[in-house]
Amino acid sequence: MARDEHANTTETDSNPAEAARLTRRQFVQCSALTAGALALPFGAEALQGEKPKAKVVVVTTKATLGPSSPPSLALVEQMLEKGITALAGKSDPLQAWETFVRKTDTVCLPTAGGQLENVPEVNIAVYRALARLGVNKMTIGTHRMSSVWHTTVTDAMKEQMPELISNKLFGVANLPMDAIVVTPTVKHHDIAGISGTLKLYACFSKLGPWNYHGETPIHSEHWDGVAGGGMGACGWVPANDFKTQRKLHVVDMIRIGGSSRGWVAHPDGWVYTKSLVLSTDPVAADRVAFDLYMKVAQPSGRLDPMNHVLRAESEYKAGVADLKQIDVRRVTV
Amino acid sequence: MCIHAYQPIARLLPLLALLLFLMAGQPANAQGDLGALFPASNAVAGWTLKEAPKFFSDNQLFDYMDGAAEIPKSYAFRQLGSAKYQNGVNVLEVAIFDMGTSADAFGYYSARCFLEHNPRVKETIIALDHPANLYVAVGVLTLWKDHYTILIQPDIGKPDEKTLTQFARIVSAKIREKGSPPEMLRRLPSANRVPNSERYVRGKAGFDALLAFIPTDVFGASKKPETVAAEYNLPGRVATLFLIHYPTASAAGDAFNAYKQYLTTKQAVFAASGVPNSFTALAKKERGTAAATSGSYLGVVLGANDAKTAATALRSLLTALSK
Repeated sequence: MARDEHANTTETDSNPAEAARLTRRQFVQCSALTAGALALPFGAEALQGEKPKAKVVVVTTKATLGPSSPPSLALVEQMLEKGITALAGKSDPLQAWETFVRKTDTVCLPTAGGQLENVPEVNIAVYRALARLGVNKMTIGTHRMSSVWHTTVTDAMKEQMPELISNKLFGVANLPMDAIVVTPTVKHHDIAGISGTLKLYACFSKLGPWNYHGETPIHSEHWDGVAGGGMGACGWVPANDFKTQRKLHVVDMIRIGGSSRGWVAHPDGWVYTKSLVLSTDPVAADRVAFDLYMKVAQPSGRLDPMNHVLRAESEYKAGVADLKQIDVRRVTV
Repeated sequence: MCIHAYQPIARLLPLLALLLFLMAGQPANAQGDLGALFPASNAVAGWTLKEAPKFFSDNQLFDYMDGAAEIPKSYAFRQLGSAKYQNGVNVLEVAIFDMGTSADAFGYYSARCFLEHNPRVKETIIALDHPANLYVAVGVLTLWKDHYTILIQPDIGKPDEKTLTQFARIVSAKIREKGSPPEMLRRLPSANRVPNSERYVRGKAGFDALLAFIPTDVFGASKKPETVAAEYNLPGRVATLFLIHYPTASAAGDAFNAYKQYLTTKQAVFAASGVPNSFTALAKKERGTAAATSGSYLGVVLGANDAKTAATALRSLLTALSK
């Protein structure tokens, strides 16, 4: 077990029981939580009368990955299973998934968009897990995903392929939904510094992303060109547009986009961080994911990407940005 | 009687016709001008036109760029044309931004180069009408000429250097005027300047990304004052020097005071700079920093190793400004 200087970080091996090992205090907290936690807007760890505390699981594979050796679906499914069981603190994968998404749920699934799309195996692994759980309905929201992504996902899912929306800027925000499972990628971004979970929420928001490009939200039907502030507003979206839904974030850090040309994170800037970052808390997910990104790449220009993460907590109460309040569990596959 | 009744209208007909022609023709001409800059199919041997030019004006740019439009829109952006060319499995895009003025075309070029810089990847400056930025590793070429900023970039696959430069030369040859970089760049000191690090910035989104990220608008950048900047090799580390030209000396003074106040809230340690109307300080994020006003100009040093180095750099900035 190792701790870094900032976070409550626990390193474990691939054993989910080990990954889920709790201190006595944590056990007491989680036991008290079991029934009521799902109703809480952010984080299954929040306790009545105590300051909410988020939990983030980082699953990293030892496998060699790169442009010529992409991850197999089997590997990604193994990583996801380890992550979800560690996050839930349950060794049975189905029970672990049910901690975050119920069988009766209509689930919306926004993907990462075109600047750096998901490794399709990440999406497939999530959709297959939810299909095994037997959720009521799944709807995928996409924006400018490649034909390769579409083909790979469709071929893998076959008759279990969820409803898929394209050409509507994700198109899921106003659909009825009980739960939302978000799969952001993490990349260099000229307005936010780094684009991750919170930035993706702005993209699939109800009013359109331009409303969250500045320091505070605006309410404009169209982009009005007034911005600056590094997307300090984007934390508003999970705290308001998706306030009531159960949330799960599977941050796809199989590779990160460490630079961008034009408006695409080209392969020359990809770094294979070989990880998935899981949390019910979008702010905590980004806080941990951005630290991982910044170990291998830089934000765009002079922007401070942590500004919109910290503001998501301080201004919009969208989650936990303080590393001292985040349990970070590391799992190796 | 009927004829007489219509006579005033009849007299106006030529004028109405002229107005209608101008109203209908103006966008078509603007689009036509931009459309004429695109290489014809097979102008670069083997590369056929896959998608004819599409045009994006004003807020349509937001849709085209997936939300990164604030920075080009901060300049005097008029219109974007985008066409795609195919050679076998490879597809490239030629994107031509009409930025309104050559200063703004340089500005957007400088913004793209600064933001696209990846310290792990080799970038090359090649000589076209103006220096152009080439990323061989991914096949992206960024250039500017007259009031156009041009990006030639891969859509599928990776175009080679020869292909990129052939496309660039064909587009450049169709643009008659060469254009000049912003006059204000001459007011930056030349000694110790990092080559090709000059930026011309308008607007808050660009200021945040290209100069200094402060969430609140300390420097009044949202009002789009002309701003120039470059990196400098100073003792100990590379620092940024920038110069903002405000409409009035009073506005420059307001920004000077706002920056000093901001640094105070950040627990900066101030020191005497030895320069009138100035301060120098050491702050956690800004490191060695200094600022001074000179008429309607505000000069700022950011990221120096210490306050003393910042003060020295500030003096060189003010000396260049006074020339």
